Amino acid sequence: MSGMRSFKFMVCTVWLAAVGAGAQIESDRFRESLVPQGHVSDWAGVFSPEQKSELESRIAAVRQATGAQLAVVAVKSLEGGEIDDFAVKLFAQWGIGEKGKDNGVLLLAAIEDRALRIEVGYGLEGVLNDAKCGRIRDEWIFPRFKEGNYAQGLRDGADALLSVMGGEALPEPAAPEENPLAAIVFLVIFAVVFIQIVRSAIRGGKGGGGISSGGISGRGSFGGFRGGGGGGGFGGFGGGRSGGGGAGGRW
Amino acid sequence: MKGCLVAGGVAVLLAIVVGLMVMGMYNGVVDKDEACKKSWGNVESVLQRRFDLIPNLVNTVKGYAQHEQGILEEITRLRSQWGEAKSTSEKVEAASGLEGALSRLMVVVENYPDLKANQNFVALQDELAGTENRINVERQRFNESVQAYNVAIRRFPTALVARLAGFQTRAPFAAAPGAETAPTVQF
Repeated sequence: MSGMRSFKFMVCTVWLAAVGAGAQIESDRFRESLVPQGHVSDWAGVFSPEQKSELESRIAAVRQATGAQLAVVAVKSLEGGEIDDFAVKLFAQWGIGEKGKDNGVLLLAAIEDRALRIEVGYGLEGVLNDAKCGRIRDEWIFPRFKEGNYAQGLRDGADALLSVMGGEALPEPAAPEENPLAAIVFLVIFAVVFIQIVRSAIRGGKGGGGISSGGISGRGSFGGFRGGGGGGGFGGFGGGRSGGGGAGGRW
Repeated sequence: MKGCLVAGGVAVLLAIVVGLMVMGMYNGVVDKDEACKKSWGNVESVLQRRFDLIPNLVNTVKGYAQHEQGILEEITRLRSQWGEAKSTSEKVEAASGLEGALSRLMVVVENYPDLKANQNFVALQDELAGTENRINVERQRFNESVQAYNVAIRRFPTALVARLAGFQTRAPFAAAPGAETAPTVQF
C-alpha cells in the first residue's frame, strides 16, 4: 500500500519536474523569438500607435543626449517563465545599452502574468539604484496598473526612468490629468507643420495633385518629426550588459 | 643524405604543428580559468554588497523591533565572520548563514507594521531584493563559466595538456541548502 503511494508520489514529482522544465524551455524559446520593434516593443497591444511613437521619440531623445538606452517591453505572458530570469536574459539577448558603458534599462511588463521588472544595466546601477527602481514601481507604475491603465503606467514609469537616466532627480509622480497648455502648443505646431506640407505638396504637385506620400517624406521637417518617432532612428541596441540590479514585483 | 634531410624537415614541421596545437589548447584552458576567476570576483562583490547593507538594516530594525535582539546579533556576527573569512569555502559558509538569517528576519518583520511602513525600511527591502537577484545572476554566470572550464579540461585531447599543466576541476557555487524554498526577501 505504502509502496503504491510512494510510487504515485514519485510519478507526481517527476511529472511536476518535467512540467517545470518544459515551461522553462517554452519560455526560453519564446524569449529567443523576440526581436525588438524599436525602443518600445509591444506584444500585448498595450499602446496605440500614437502612444507608441510618442514614447519612442522621447526615449530616442534621451539616447541622443546621453547615450543611455531604455527598452520598454510589454508581453502578454512569459510562457511559464520567471520574470527576473526572463528580464536578465532578454537584456543580454538584446544587449541594451552601449557596449562598455552598460548604460541600458529594461522596463518589462507581462500583462496577463501581472508581473513587472525594471532591469538596470551595470553602468546605471549607481544613479538608478534598487530603492529608486522600487519607488518608480510603487509610485508611478503600479497605481496605474491597478486601475488597468497599462499604457499610462508604462509611460509614467518610462518618464521617471528617463529623467533619472538623463541625470535628473526623481520628480514627483505625475498628476493623471493632461496639461491643457501642452496640448494647445502641440496643436499649434501640428497645424503649422500641416499647412506647410499641404502648401508644398500643392506647389510641387502642379496645382492640386493631392498629398502624395512622396511629397510628405520629401519634406525635411516632417521627415524628422516622424523619423524620430516611428522607429526610423532605431538602429538596434548597443551590446550593454546587466547583472540583476533593479526592482520587480507583481501588482 | 637527402632522405635524412627530408625526414628531419618533416619531424621539425610536425613538432611545430603539435607545439602550436598544445599552445592553443593550453591558452584556451587559461582563458576559461581566468573567466572563472573573474566571474567569482563578481559573485564576491555582490555578496559583499549584501553584507554592506547589514549595518543600516540592523539599525533600522532595532528601532522598531526590540524583541528581536537574538536574530539581529546573529546577523551582525555573520557579518564579522564574513569580514574575517579568507578562503572561498569560509566565505560561502558565511554567505549561506546570512541568507538563512535574513529570510528569518523578513518573516519576523511581518509582526511590525510600523517598521514595514518606514520609508527607509522599504528602500532597504528593495535594495536587499535587488541584491538577492544579483547574487542569483552572478552565481548562475559563475557556474556556467565553471562548467565551460570543467568540460574543457576533461575533454580529450585538451585533458592531456590540462593534466600536464596541473589544472584541476573547479567546484560550482551551489545555492545554500534550502535556499530555493526559503522565503525570499521580496514581498
